[in-house]
Amino acid sequence: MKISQKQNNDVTILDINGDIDINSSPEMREAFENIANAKTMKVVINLNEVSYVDSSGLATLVEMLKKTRSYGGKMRLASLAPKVKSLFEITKLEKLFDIFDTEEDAGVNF
Amino acid sequence: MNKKFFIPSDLKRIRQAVDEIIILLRGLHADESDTFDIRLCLEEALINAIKYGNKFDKNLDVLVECSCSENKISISVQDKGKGFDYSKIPDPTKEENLLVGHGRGVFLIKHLMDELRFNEKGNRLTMTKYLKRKIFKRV
Repeated sequence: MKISQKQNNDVTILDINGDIDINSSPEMREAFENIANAKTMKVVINLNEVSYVDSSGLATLVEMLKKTRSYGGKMRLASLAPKVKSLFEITKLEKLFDIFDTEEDAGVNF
Repeated sequence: MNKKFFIPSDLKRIRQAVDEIIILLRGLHADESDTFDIRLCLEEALINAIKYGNKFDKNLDVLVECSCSENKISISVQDKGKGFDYSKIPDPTKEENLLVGHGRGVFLIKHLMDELRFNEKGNRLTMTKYLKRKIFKRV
């Protein structure tokens, strides 16, 4: 998994590249720690380069969302592959997350 | 076509085990969406077997048995644990469970596979998927 962070005005974007599974989830959690510790208010997780997520990956994203909400921040997901998006639909996590088609869309009207 | 192998209770060995089945399916030109579902379900079943069944005891193996015909694949995963009552897993899609960090593995298997059954003891699950595209034929 490769993770990079960038800034677009006041929105922090975390680009994830690779599978989010039981072995790689801790890496994503760790990368997110810095964002949460800085109490970043507007966070976009860009999943454009993610073609596979398992239940551990879903759980880690839920954990990240809870953490962001705990200090009053907002977290959005962007650019989900159709199969990955279907997992959010099946598990009803789509009700919990704000999901956008593109990173650009996710950064607007935060 | 049948395949049978054991893996130790080590989460780092899951990828290798799953790849054995996925490479086989890709070689047979299985549909990519089916392949995604089978990969995910096998991985979830192995995680549960290692974590909750064998409780990470690396001396205990997990058995994987796979049988494949032209339109379906069945995979069994068996651990050496005491067994588990899968009917007691809370529904992760209920409003009050959405923020819970676990409990989605078996739920996903139920949804992505066409059949799922457990042995009486609860330490072996068998999941079956009917394939969108027949395999064993060149496309």
